[in-house]
Amino acid sequence: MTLQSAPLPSLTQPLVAGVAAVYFLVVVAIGAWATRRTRTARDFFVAGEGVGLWALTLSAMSATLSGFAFIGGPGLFYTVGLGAIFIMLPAAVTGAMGAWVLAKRMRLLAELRGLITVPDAIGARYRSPLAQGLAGASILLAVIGYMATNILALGLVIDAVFGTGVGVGIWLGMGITLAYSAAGGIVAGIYTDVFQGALMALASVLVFAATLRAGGGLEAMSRTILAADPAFLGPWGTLSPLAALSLFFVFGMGSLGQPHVVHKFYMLRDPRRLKWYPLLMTLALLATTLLLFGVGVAVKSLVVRGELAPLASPDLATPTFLLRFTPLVLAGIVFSGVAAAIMSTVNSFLSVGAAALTHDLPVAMGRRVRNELLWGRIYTVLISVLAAILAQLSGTLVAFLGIFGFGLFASTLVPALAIGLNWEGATPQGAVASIATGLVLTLLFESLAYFGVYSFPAGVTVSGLSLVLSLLVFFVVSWLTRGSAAAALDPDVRLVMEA
Amino acid sequence: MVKRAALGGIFLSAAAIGAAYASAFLPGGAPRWAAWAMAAGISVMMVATTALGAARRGRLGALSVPFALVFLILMGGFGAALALPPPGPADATLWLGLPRGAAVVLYGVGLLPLFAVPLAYAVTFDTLTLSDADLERVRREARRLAGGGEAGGGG
Repeated sequence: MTLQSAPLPSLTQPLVAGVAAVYFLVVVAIGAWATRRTRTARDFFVAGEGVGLWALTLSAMSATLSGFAFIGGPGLFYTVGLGAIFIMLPAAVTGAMGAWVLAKRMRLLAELRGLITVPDAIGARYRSPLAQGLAGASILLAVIGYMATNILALGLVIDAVFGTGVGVGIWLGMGITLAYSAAGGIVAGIYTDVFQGALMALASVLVFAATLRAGGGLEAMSRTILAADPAFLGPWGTLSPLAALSLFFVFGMGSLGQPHVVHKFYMLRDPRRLKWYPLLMTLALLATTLLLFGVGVAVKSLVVRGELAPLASPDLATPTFLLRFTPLVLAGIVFSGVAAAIMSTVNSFLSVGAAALTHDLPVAMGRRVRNELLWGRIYTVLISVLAAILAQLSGTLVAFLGIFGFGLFASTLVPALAIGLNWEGATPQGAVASIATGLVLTLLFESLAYFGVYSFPAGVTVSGLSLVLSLLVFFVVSWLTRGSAAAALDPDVRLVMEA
Repeated sequence: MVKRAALGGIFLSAAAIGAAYASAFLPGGAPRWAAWAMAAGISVMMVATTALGAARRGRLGALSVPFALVFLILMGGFGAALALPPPGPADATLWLGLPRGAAVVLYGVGLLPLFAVPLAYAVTFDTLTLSDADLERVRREARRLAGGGEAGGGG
């Protein structure tokens, strides 16, 4: 998913800025409160396994979505029609799939082994520091690139609301996120996520209602669009069926490999509370998807009717709709929601990135960092500063770094983590080979495509191709080395896998 | 048995998706069967992966019903979207405000599974996923293994 990388229209009005200022003050207050609860590395990275069900759900939802759901997503819908919804369609299944495949086992493993990172689970599952280190390196690479795009997007939002200029916006947004992330770690992240997730869901539902009112209802909007551009409301939009289905595959199966989301399963206080997690998560995701669909359809129909001029850039769909058709206070809430979505994702990335440097890479080299809390904070600062500097460099570099985040997580982690935690026959060699395949192919294919060396055929997404190849490699290498499967399983890990 | 079938399903569906992608590299682009292979591959892979995670002692129990339902919803929804004619300017039939193909995708694939899997997870959680007794058994066994020095090292 790409975030906005071009300037947004100016929203510098006292009411919008006031609502956004209140939002930032609440975030800072929650961060200050959480800092006092962060005393150990386990508090910093996994909230001391003390998180409740609602906090887990809202936090996982806000980490999943980023600002794409509010700006890039509606813009994509405006451009390609219903095909864009294939990014969000798997949400009806992925909450339950993640719970059955990962949540219970990761939570129990965390309790038995004291795990704090996602690569920890891979290391424990296969008794393989190499697999853990490779997974940590993949995560780190994806995190830095992904963070740069998120921070640039945050800078653009702050500039649009407060008129600070993009450069100041980047450092202001990064500074606030860094302050609560470095001081309060994931505890601060989780509880700001609760506030931010609730704000995102509220904003989405309110804007959806406004789109129905502005467009005269869904049927009226559909008839308007069908008369001018029927393909827009075809089942695949203007995408080919293969391209739309490819999005479903990547965002459906890929959801099992997003470390900043699945990492949160470690934090649940009582594993029995997982019972209602899929239902709550699915409802929260669907509520937050309403804005993407509503704005995409409404803006298209308003443009067809001549009530709006065609957009100069797809990313202008949400800001243009808000400024023309909703009260200013709602625009303020939505833009706070966008900032909230981005900041919650950045905080989660900071946590898994710092954990990779503090914990996974040293473990892979047979070492342990003595004071993980201190080094976790130091690495959080370093990653933030690096990402903010990258965000200020050329837009081309930032865009390039941003494109492989989701796909790199998916192709490197889904086979070894999601399948491996449920299949006793998986081997360390299979895990290492699949992680290496996902890492190399994603970087190679994305580079070839981005720099125009090779154009992939229509319908082929690099993320999907890399994911399916890493899955096949995982199965084939595990089968070829099946003799080593039993030796790779510790009794307590087997116990969790059979639970 | 269920796990073996689920693993076979994941592998075969990955092969089907891989074949769909590979066909797009052919001169003339992806043939018509590629989208069907992708649709079938996705439907099988999502359900087989979920079943792999849900299976306990080689069985799914009552969960086989919602999983079969989700497979039918996904495959049926994608299949209908592939088979239905594209909407036209004079398309008078709207289902809940959308052309038929769009309604099948949005309300069928996007919403119907909500009433199958998340609810099934909650309803069967105590009996088929994690009961108090299961949790206590895992913790007791883990303590025994740790006490006997059989557990592995930290992660």
